[in-house]
Amino acid sequence: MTRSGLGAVLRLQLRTGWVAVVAWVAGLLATYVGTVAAIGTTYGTPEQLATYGATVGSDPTMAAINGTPYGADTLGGVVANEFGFVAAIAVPLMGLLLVARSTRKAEELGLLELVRSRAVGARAPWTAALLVSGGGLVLVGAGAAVTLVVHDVPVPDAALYGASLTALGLVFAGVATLAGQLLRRSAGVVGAGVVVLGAAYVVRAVGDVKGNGWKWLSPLAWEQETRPFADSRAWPLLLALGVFVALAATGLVLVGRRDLGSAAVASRPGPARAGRFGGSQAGLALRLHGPVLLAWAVGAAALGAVFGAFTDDIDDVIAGNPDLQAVFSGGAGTDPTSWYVSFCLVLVLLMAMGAGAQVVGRVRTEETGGRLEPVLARSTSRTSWIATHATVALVGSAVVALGGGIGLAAAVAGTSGDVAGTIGASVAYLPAVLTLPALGVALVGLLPRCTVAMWAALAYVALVELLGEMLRLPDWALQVSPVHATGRLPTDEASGVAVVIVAVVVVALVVAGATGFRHRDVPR
Amino acid sequence: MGDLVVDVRGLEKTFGRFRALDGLDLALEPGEVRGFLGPNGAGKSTTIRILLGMVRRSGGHVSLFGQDPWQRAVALHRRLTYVPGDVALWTGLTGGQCIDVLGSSGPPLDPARRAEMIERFDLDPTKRVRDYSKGNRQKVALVAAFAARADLLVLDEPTSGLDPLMEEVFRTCVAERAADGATVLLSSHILSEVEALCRTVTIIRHGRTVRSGAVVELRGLARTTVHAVTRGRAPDLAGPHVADLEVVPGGTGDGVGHDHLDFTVDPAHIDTVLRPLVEQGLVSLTVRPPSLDELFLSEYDGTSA
Repeated sequence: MTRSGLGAVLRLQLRTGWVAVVAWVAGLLATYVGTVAAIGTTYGTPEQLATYGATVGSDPTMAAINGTPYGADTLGGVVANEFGFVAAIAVPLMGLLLVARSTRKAEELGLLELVRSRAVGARAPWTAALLVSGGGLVLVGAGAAVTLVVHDVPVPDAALYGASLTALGLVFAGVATLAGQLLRRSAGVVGAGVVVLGAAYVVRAVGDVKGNGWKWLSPLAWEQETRPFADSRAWPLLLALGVFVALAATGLVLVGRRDLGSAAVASRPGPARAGRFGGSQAGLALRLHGPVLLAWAVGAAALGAVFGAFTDDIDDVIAGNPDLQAVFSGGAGTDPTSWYVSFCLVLVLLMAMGAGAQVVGRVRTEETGGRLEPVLARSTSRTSWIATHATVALVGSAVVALGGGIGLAAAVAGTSGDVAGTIGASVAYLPAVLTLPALGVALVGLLPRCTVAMWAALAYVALVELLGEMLRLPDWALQVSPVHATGRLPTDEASGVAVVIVAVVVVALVVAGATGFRHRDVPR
Repeated sequence: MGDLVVDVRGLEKTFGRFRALDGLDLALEPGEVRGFLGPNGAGKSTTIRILLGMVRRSGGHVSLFGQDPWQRAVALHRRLTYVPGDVALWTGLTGGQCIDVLGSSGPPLDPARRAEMIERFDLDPTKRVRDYSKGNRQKVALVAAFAARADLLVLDEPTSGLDPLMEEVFRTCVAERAADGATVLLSSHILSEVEALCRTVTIIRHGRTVRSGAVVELRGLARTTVHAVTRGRAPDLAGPHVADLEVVPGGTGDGVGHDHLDFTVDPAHIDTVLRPLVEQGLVSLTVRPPSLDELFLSEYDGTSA
């Protein structure tokens, strides 16, 4: 009986959440279609595909970042490899965020109180969220498969690949369903999911570089190990689907047993007085954003350290492969590992930008949650409020980027890599990293209801950095990304002019945001 | 007992080590309009959430229309509507859309009543929720509740944020639904609202029922306050039914030699004290009927017996 009211909740979730589902599906498929088309042009002949397989396909940096490439001498395999990183991050996030948004988030905001007083069971919102996100993930998988079939990839291979993508997203929808019963706050659910994703990514990379069984702990490996374009096999897909069913079923059983608004991890009593934090604006801002930033910094440092530790493995494989040496010696750097270090650094930078965007997002919810008005009603000026939070967002982003850079450098120090260059590069990239929180501040000040657009900007930077050259985007489109404009460090020298221009843009965005915030209505 | 709409006996609920409900009793007959009162944190909302099957009881008995609200929540919710004191709605939808969304499950909306309620509550159904004030969000939930013909209305501080005009509309709507035979559970801090609408009340404190019964009966528990001025000497009223007696003898204050008396008396025995007063010759007499406010307040702070 508790599943009743499913139809009503399903319609409600589609009506209030269709934009998010459409944005995820369209964004992912557009990237995928673009990648397939670009690769179809670049590697149009079997000979060209064979060259890819012999060079990039056996490149250990690719194995670390995108996963072991299987069937890298076929169009599907090359695309799967090039799209591997996007698939490994974006598809799980889609499953995770779509479920958390329409379930725990709604419960936290009190939206389920009235809904549940109608003929709607406890499980209905969760089941509906799984159906909606699952539907979106099926569209992504089916869209990818159809794209491949259009490019003459055999139907069974294309279908297996699409199904693998869908199953990967479903596993993380399942993670959100289970975590949603254990944690009270949707931010906690998303945070737990991101930690699982980060761990899955690192474990998969360790397994792929070292060639050991660790990767079987990672849902990301289950997606890749179906090997649709080499020796196709369905059992890893069944493993993923089985785990999804187990996670989702456990979550649905638990939701039927708990009180509305409660969680397995209950809230504890806290101090009755504010203590040393609450006395000042800066203290309150640090209290609010500190834990999130610390978590990101530790995560970035850990990712940098694990990937940095692979540097010698990468070096060995490249040294043993004349084709790869030819590829790398064609580049500007004489040190082939610096290209790998640079790629790892970009991952860390993306994390730092994400941390900054998350902080700005939380600043915006201070306003939408009604907590800004009482603060401004006291003797706090608008300028000092926005300046304090903007400072925490920018400094926090920088700390995450430097933490990741130092983690990477520390691991590189144990290998043949360039430690000083790695540290220098992290510093030179700082203005580029800060553009994202600065853009967020500008949006909060000028277009507060469009604050989420900063995530689209982050997605764009990630797209340019990870696939931009493969997609053959025009030069101006690449240069819009501040990371790309700064240059590929530490392989190349940083462009001093670009760094200065990017820094000026950061300052301009923050000033524009603060000015706009001083002159607009609150709340908006 | 099977006829009771709401039957709660010895209800207990603990959140971790905190006991929110500690042996609470509540029973509603069909067609009854019951006030549900208690100080902040007494457990009113927790009780209501248990009745709605959103929170599971830790102990005791609870049934709604003779069924367990946790097990049979969905089926039972086809017969009731609920208005919380703090209405959260979907910011992107309009008020009208929210009413329909809520109406798409549970007791069906009557289109004519929906239009009538929007008119009576003076609600603009085309506005987005984010542009509504608190009072207007409250009206959305009230329209959705009154536009359906439910057997039971569960109202948890339903008028918070409403202006006095809308408060009046709300009272009329509850009275109409009660006249139709609906059962109403009204949790409220507005005592005048409870006095106007409810024949019976239940007062709880620290998760227990401390007083329950007809408003008339409760009125009987409160004491009548009397101030009398007698021409002759004040009679000796001391007795089991009189309290707080204070006599100011003539000559000490007012200059004309009249005795002044102040006391409270059990309303059932008022005649036993009035007779001796009349015999002494009354200059003036003020009798203030028992106030429910005083009773409620003494129950709230635990000073009553």
